[in-house]
Amino acid sequence: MEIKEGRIQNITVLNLIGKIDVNSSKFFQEKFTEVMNRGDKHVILNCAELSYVSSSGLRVFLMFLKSINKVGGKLVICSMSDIIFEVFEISGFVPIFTITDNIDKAVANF
Amino acid sequence: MRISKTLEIENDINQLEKVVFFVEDFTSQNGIEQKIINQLLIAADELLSNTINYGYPKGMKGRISIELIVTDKEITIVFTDDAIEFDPTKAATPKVSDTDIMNRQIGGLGIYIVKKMMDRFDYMRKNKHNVITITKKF
Repeated sequence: MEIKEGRIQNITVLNLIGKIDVNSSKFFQEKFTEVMNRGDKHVILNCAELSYVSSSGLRVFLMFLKSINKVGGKLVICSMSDIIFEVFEISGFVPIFTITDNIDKAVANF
Repeated sequence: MRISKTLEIENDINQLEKVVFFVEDFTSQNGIEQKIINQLLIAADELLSNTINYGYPKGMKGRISIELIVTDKEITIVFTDDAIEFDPTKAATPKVSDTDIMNRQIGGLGIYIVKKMMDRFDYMRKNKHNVITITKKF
């Protein structure tokens, strides 16, 4: 996987690209640690170019949410494909995350 | 129509990349739609990482074979490994309805995703090997 970082106003946007599986989830976790250590509190995870995520990646999504909530920040996930939404739905993650159709709606959440 | 192909890997998590290429190559050659390919890749990631991370005593070398079979109606993957006996189809169902995020656990979620995403998920113990079969219908 690849992560392209961007910024909209005071929001950190992480564009997740490719596959998040058991091996690449380590890279996702490193990026998460970097963002949290920097003190970023407003984060969008853009899944527009993400092909799929397995449970090892879900662990990082959950860690992200817990850490951001702890510092009083906000995390929004946007532009999920059907298959990523399916994985979130099966795992019971849909009600615990803020999920939007596109990046504009994600930005509007802040 | 029945076309099949087999890949054999060692019980090393870094070998999963090979499996991704193998599945992508075989499925695209046989015209499988992208959504099904991604579902199969997720299932393979969950099952193989589980076997490799928990199925072998530390330092023990193992072999895992991955057979892909496509027919007109469905695609099947048969995973055969020499790890310790374990039936993933009998794994406990994780709690997925707790909305308090501090209580949420990831353990057991992978196998549950496989169960929900596939049309068939079977296990048998044969000649001291675990044989796990998953099928997705077209």
